Amino acid sequence: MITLPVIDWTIVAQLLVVFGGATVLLLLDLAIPAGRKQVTAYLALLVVLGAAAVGVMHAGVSGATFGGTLRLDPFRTAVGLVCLAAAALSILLAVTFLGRHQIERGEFAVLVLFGVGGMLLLVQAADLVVMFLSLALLSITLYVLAGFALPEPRSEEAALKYLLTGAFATGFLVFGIALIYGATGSTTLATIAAAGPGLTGEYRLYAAAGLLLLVVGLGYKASLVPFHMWTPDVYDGAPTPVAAFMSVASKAAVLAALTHVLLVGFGELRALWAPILAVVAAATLLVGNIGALVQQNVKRMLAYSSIGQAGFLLFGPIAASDRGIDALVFYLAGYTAANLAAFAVLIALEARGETEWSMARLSGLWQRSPGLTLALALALLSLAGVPPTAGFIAKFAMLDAVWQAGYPALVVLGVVTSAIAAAYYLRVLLRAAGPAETDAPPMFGDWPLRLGMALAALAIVVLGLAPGWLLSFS
Amino acid sequence: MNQIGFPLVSLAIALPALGALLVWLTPASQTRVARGFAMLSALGALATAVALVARFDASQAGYQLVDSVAWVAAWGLSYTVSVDGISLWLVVLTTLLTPVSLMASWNAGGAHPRLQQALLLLLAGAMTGVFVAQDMLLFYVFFELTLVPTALLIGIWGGDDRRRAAQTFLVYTFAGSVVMLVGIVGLYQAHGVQTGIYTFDLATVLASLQLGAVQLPLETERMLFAAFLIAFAVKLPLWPFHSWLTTAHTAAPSSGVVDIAGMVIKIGAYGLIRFNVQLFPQAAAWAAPAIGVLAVIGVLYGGWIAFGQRDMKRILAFATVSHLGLIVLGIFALNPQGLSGALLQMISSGITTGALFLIVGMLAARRDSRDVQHFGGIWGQAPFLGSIALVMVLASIGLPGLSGFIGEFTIMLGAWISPVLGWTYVSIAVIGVVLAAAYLLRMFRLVFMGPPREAGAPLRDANTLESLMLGVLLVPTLVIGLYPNALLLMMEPSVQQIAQQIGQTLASR
Amino acid sequence: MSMIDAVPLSWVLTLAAILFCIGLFGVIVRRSLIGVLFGVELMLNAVNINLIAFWRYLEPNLVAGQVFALFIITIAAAEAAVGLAMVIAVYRTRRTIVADDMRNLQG
Repeated sequence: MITLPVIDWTIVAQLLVVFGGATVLLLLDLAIPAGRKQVTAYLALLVVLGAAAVGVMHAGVSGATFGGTLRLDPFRTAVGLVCLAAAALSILLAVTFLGRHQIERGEFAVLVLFGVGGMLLLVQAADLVVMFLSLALLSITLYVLAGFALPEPRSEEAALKYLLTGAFATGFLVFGIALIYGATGSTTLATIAAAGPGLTGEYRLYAAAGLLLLVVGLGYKASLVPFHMWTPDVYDGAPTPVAAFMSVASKAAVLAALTHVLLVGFGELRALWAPILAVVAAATLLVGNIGALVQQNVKRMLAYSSIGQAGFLLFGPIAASDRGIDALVFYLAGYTAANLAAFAVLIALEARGETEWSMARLSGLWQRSPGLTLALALALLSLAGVPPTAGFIAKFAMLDAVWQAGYPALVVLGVVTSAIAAAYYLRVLLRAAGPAETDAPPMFGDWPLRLGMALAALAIVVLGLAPGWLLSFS
Repeated sequence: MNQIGFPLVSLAIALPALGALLVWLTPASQTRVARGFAMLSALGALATAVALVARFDASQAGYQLVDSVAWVAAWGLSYTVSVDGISLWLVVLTTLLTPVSLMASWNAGGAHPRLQQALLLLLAGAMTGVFVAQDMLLFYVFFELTLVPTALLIGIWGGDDRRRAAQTFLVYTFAGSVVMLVGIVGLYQAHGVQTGIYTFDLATVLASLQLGAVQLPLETERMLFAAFLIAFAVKLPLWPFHSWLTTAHTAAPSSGVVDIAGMVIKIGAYGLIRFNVQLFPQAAAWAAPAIGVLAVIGVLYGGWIAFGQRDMKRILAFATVSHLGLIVLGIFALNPQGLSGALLQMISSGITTGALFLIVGMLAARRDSRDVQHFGGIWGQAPFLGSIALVMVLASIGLPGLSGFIGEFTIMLGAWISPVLGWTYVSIAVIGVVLAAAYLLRMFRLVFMGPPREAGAPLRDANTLESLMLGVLLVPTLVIGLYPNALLLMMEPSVQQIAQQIGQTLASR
Repeated sequence: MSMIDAVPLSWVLTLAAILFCIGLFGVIVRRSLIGVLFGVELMLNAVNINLIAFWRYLEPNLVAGQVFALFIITIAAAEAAVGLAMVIAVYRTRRTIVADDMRNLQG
């Protein structure tokens, strides 16, 4: 006999808005004529804003529903809002880009909605099965989005590479979940945590092996080294707004899920996973930043830099403290704003049929558009962690948290790789401030793009100057 | 708010920043308006600095005229700015050099004049911030803020090799300064764990360290000391980290705009006093002999290389390396004489080297070359430039009665009687001083003396603007030389306090 | 004698692990895109065996294991649908489904 669990509708309200909106919009889109698909995008924007409004009302709400498989707390609400903000900005950046590249189809906005719904579900999941489902949901939408510029061969190739590596990672993920289920008899994080100390012999081994496989699966999605190989290719080939969306939102959601798995489900095994994660973080920082240093293609550089940033994001779960969680949320917010602003500048300069995003195309930008240069400067300075941007406070918060957790070596490594990162970020900036080296590429400055860029840039500055309110929520 | 109920110190930071904003907002066609805004804000900052001197209580050692606002309360991070005897004159120097650099920028012309002035003003605001920040993280914020305007000034208006130079500058100094972040995190956490109070406030941290509320294990203290040392040694730069400085000076615009604004003011040396010496006296005493050796090498090396150069800016760049060696020697004498000598020398060398960079810029603009061999015998044509150059050269090599002498002498005295250094350091460093006399006088002789070169067209003397700039720099050179006590009196309590703490620490060892 | 007594759990788990490794091997060495997708399917189905075994041997009264297996089958189908659609799209534009022929993006 299966009894239906009591459902707390306030907790699922946000998900209902997103998935309901997405489903309705999918049908509604059929009635919107082909030339006016921008309408779908703006409607999707409304749905995202509605979900964000629900998220704002959730501030301070904690609770669980669906038999403890979905949970809401300030951390989840905050990361959810970051994902929604990323979705909203990505839609703004994409609205006119799609038309310009002649790939304007209504599914785009709907897919973004389903994707962000998957992310919200992943963030709120307190059960491994829900995590798997939401991860599959967001992955499959992202595969399709990566190939959205079909039949453009690079986009096609990006989608296929992403799909194959992603499906491969799913295999590890579910194998891990199966082992954990076998060891503990449950897939709910709280129950797993309760069963943890009582495990003996082979069952303890199953749980540990399952955890490692699960981390591998999530590590693929968050592009942690050594599971990062797909990242540069996919970001390079995917349509630029999609790359922007993937690089921030899915990373935020996956990092939140990883944090929940490690801290809630396997807090007791911290002695096992913390050193492993520290090594992964170190490798991620080094590979990402050194990889970015040698790139001449700006999109690939941003891809490697996002790998490097993921290394910093891991400091949150490694610290495993309130400070670490605060720092993680702040880092995610700052990184989202900065990375989206950087991609927005690329979108403003990308005409149809561009294949190689060479750095020379940014040269002389200052003379042509001080506004774009300012946005680029804020974005890159924030990614590099130069004050007074959000990135600085974020990096400092992370360094502080891991130092407190007893990993001074990670602090030193974080600082060293930041110096490497500064070299390649600021190199781009100096080129943008310098003289033009190639024929000036066309520039696009329609209002949704400008609005998205301005909001991202504003967030960088506001979070940098007044970080207090976001740093002390937990 | 502070005891006078008016945020005077903050004003000294805010005015240049506000000026930068106004200049940026002025339409491109309104050159005169933009210049007016720029100069007005710079002069306003200077007036504020003078007001600070007037308000400063010379009998007290601690931080004065404090402005404080919480920034991230949960972390104990605050916007706290103040002045003490060590920072006061450096603020005055910064605000004095800002109008001069603006005038130099007008004089040199060049592309994007508004942006250049805005960046110069931002740089001035950030440097003032570095000197007055009383919160460790705020100090770091201002310290980093100086980087970007400087790099852009070099990268946009620099000479042939500007992009590489700007990049080298950024990478070196950013890499150096992030290491300081490790030190700040470490100190902050140590203080938080041991006292339960998480704060970045320097006054609190200093008090806890002195009263023994926070006990740093020897190893930890040395590590933290090293983290700060690396940042400041690169920034200074201390030999062997000097290569960015000479590249940057050579590639910076010939006009001397950047040289005077960015490089001559010694943020690194200030940081050494404020953090390394004041917070970690034990580690400072431990490391002093080794750092002294590096400093002496810097003095000799800078002098030696400068001697062989023909490019006037390279000569001055290496002279700067040499001067900095001497300043570091003074700081790590760890006694009142050494410290106040170093402070005086920071100010004096800032002014004299800055003035020489400007003169080189003026000459280079007239003859489109910085090679000493393209000049010669121009005294007759440009007697005003010549005489100012002579005064600055003499002040720089430490002629009694001018600003350089008193600083150099006090440093030597301090290092000689210092228990951690001693007479050997001084006797070797003296060779560097002799070298300085040789290369600077050689440059002066080759450029201004001798028979006029046939090839060169007649050379114009300084115009009104140039005379004004140099005149502004001449006044403090003479004042400090003739009446150094004006500065020393205000430094005295702060310097004595630091030295006293070090003395106690050393005695208790 | 029931199956549980005849076949120990570890045998079933070993079988699943072997299947998983075969799938993994296929994904890595196969050059045909269809072959790679087959490998992924094999990996997922190995997990299904695992789940069912755990359910049957350890927690026969709870449905979680079975439900999870059903979810995996569904997701695998969805993934395969998208994957095959892409393979077809690739075949239409390039007339090949060999992974090595795709090198527009530097690996």
